[in-house]
Amino acid sequence: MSDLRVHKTKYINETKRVSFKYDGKNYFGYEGDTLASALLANGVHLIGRSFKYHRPRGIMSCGSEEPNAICQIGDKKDLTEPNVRATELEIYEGLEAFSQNCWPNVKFDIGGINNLISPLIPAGFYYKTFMWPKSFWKKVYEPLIRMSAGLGKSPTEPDPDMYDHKYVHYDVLVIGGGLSGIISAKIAAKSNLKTLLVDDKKTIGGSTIYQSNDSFKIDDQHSSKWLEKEINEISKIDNLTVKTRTSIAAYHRYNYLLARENLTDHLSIKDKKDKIRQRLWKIRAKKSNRSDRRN
Amino acid sequence: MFLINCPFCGERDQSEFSSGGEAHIVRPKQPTELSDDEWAEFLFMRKNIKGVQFERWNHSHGCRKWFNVVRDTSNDKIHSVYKMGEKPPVK
Repeated sequence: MSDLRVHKTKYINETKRVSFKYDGKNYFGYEGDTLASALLANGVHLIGRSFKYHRPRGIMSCGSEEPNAICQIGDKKDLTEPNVRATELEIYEGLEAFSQNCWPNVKFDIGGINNLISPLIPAGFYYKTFMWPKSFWKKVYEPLIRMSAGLGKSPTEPDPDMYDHKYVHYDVLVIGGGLSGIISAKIAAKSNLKTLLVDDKKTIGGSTIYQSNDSFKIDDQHSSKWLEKEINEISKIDNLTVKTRTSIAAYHRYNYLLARENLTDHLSIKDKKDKIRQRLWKIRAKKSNRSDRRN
Repeated sequence: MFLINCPFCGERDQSEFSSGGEAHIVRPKQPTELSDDEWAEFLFMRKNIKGVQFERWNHSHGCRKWFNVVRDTSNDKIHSVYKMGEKPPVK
């Protein structure tokens, strides 16, 4: 284990070790780690290869905005999942992840040759090159192009998992459980509005959960203390529902939103057996409030 | 997917309704006396406006009654809903 890890944080349980496999090699992280944080703590930086020129790609961000660190999860024909962001996936006992878009492996990638010959691939290369001889298209060019298309591998057998969906109606929907999200949901709920607060992480708090030193203060108290108090307070409000591990996927007219709640993706293979994997929430809100600072 | 305030049942999801197209097209009194062009005009020609449009809707998965809706086709905003036979609101 390298010493890249920040120790004694509240959200990672360093007493519980979780072992997982990445590209066939065994690693371990702790409960609460994402695949990205566990890999970084193990000194693994090279996660994948870029689409066309197969340039090396590592971890760039810490959430759903991640463009680089995308992995293939599992190698079963029916349960494998391509293009999962390492920064979003919580590790669990028995997790098997693989790097994508590289062969034979991520460190030595044949496709990297594209990078070396990139000066020979000008704009319009494909349209000009693959025209002749005409008989080559069906047998040579098309199979080759199809082989190199896409990053991950899609499952080839039907999904054996169980899924669920649910229709809900709220007066106010707050998207993003950071500081502003918590406060606006609290104010809405206290004015007698039926409120739903959703966040894609496993705990609400947004960036506040990473701030543990004295320079972060809210209302003259430590931001983590403040957060603890607020979470405790809003959990007692009856007409406020908090959904974590839930991400909004679509925003339609008349405040009709779709959300995906992850129910068992973070559990160990043994624990997730015979349980519903994900739930689709069909939310009709009278008012929705985006509190994520990204947009 | 928008909400429609059915005058008989109240506010429901669009998926419960089916659209009946443009409203207030009067059937000619003597169809036999029309030329083919005039008959085609009545049968097929519709305005297809971008903006406020008068439409008929049917609550097909609810009370199954017909009514009229004034909807802006560019943003699906519904300005008013009124029953069949009622006078349409002026713009």
